[in-house]
Amino acid sequence: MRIESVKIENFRQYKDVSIEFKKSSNQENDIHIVLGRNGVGKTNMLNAITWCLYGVESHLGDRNTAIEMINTSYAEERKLQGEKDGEVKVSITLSSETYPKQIIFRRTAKYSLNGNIRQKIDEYKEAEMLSENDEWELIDKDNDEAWIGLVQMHIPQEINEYIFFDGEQLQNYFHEGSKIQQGIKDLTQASLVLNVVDKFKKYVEQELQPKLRSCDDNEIKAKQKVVDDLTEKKTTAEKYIADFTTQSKICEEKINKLSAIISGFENIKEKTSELNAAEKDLDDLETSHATTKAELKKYLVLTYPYFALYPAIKSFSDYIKGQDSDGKLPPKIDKSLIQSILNSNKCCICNRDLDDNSHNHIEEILKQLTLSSATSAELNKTSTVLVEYFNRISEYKQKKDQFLNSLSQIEEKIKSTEKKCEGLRAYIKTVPNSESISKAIDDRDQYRNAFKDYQQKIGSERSNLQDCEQKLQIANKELTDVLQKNKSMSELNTKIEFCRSCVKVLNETANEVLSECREDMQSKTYSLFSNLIWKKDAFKEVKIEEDYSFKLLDSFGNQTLGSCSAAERALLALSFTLALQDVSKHDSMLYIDTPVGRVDDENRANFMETLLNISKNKQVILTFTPTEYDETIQSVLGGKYNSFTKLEINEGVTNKK
Amino acid sequence: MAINSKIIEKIKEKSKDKYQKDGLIDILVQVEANKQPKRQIERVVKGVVNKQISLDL
Amino acid sequence: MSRIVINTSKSYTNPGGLLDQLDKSNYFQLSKSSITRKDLFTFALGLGLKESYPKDIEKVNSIVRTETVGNTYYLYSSVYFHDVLSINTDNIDKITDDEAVYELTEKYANAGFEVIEQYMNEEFKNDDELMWKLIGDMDEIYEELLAEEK
Repeated sequence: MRIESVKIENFRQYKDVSIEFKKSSNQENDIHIVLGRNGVGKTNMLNAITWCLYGVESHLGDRNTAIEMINTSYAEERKLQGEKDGEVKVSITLSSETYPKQIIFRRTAKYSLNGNIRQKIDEYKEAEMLSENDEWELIDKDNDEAWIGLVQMHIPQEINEYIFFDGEQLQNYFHEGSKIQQGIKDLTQASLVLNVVDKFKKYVEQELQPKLRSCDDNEIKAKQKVVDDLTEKKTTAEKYIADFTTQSKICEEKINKLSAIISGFENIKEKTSELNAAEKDLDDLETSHATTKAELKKYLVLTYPYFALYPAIKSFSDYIKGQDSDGKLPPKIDKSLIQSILNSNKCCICNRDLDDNSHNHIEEILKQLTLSSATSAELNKTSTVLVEYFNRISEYKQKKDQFLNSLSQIEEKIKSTEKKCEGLRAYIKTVPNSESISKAIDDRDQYRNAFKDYQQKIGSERSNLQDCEQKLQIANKELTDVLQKNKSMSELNTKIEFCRSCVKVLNETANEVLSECREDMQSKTYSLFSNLIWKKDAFKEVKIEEDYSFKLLDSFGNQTLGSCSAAERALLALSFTLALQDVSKHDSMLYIDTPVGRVDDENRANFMETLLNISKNKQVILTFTPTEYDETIQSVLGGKYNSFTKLEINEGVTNKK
Repeated sequence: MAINSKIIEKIKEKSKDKYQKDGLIDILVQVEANKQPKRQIERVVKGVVNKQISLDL
Repeated sequence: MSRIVINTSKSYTNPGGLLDQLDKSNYFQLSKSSITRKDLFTFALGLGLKESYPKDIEKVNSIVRTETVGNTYYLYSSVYFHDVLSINTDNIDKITDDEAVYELTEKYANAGFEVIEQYMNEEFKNDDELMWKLIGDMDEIYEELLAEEK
């Protein structure tokens, strides 16, 4: 299949551009060049093609998403002419060596031009194909099935990214294994074969088995029921296995993605917890330190007066002790009583007046008495309390030392905890986004558990399936035996057996074709890739799993797809595309938009050589910017192209130069 | 579009006989051409019964 | 008649005065949430005696009720004995005069509050430094005590 021409009308930058990609007979290479600066619309040409074929612009960048599809200049002109609507139209002419030899696909979108916002009000597609009589047959506008069938025959949508190769959107190439798988099924026609399998199964289910179920023979009916039940169980088990496998693969992908994020920082969670604990300890220690200090200060406030007043306490205590040792505490005679006798000049016992001798004697006694009873009592009380004060003072050193030791120990612990925190913080600092890595670790654990769970379920269902299949085999055999015995059913039996045999042949064929294709692609991709890549020894193998998930293995057998450079991924994607087309023997062209943007000088020549070789058997359309279309590329091409189109843009409208 | 040669080869290899092989290829062609193969399947399946009868005979 | 309250200068007890400031800042644990007013008064007494001299109170305001004093009273009476009565112990009977005891104590404490103010605002703004000073002073006195006992 090749593209003969593309006509783009009023689509984005394009107002009316027609590009022919015809192959001349004197050119060995079916290679075509489209040259244009950035912004001229090279990628939008690709978008025009995918929009025409599939109704979607598969390569729309951010720049364009906000702008309506309809060309602005055209829309303005229409409005000035008083028209209320305008049309966007893209036509693609394909040719093929098989029937139909030529097909024109045309898609039109009608836009309302009222107001400032241009809205799409209608869209329809038409196709014309060149019949065997060399006459053009129009496919009905409403015949969606026919349109889709024609498109899928030549450029299946599922793998259109591997036919229309966008050099700038590489990161998406390897992430949807199921899309690739379906596309490969279509390309290798395995899906066609499996479709026939379904038809046979349906035929058996809808046409043959009802006859069995409605027959008079109860034994046959019973056996058929057993087969039916087991078939249902088998289908259910197969469905569960498929679902769980899909979920399992999703988990695996997530685990791989998260592992790549986490790689090298596995213990960040523990370290973060350790830091949190250490910081809490630090807080507690600091609180403890502050509390101990406050208690010490309080102790000093309460104890200091005893020290400051020590001389006073000592002198008072010494005085009281002196009085006590002199026997004056307590006094034998009450001083105040003697004083009152002297004052009254009367004896308090006999109440007689004192004579001079008595008066003098009593004065003498008074002189000897220094303390009154009240004073004595006071001094006695004081003496007891002063002992407490002395005790308090004597306890000072021990208590003070206790406080200071406690503070010192806490300070030591604070120091060592601070050091620990510092070390942990320094480590965590080396880890970018430690929070998100911790979350990634948690998420990965969850996915691991889920994966385990799904694996167990798959195992269980596989066991059910095996059991079902064994029982089904037996049940089918029993049914066949019963049918053979029943002469009127033997014909039906033959038919059913034949259908089963056909299904077997077709299934094996489809599986083998797919498996061989996958293996071929693996080695072909690797072969092409290792030719293109400059790091010759860095990669050992390409692995394409059963579900078409991709692995690029380094010399140690490790998956490196997530970590290889954009240029390496570009080369791998191209290699895969080429391998896909080659191995599937699918006759489709290759369109590569800015193929060498990511590839350095050393490999550009390799790249162009490879594409030139491909173009001997297949149409290859390449778009370049003037910078990319340098001497290296030109010298490899050596003018061996079939068409060279230069696009330029003027006042927002792209035209051919 | 033609049926992939690989597919034809494998069907040839795996089919019990020429009848099955030819029958399967015819059906594949029908489906490939977007036509409903039910009649074709019926014809092939019925044919196998007749073939069986003629063999038995 | 027995005293009911112990006094200090109104300037300390007024709103915004030293006591208020101590309550707000809890400087050296001297707020009323950390220690009693009696203990604060006694601490001021200590500082006034060690670092200053008795100062008359200009405008008087109560700070402590005497009923809360308890055995701390004998600290106060020690001061009175040492300052007044020890000079002529013939007057020892005056030791029972609590009015005289409180009056002298108030003057020392008044001076002590002034010292606290100075420490808080100037000399020892960081009360950790005051802590070390007091420990130093008390260690010195303790050493002297030990030497005496020997």
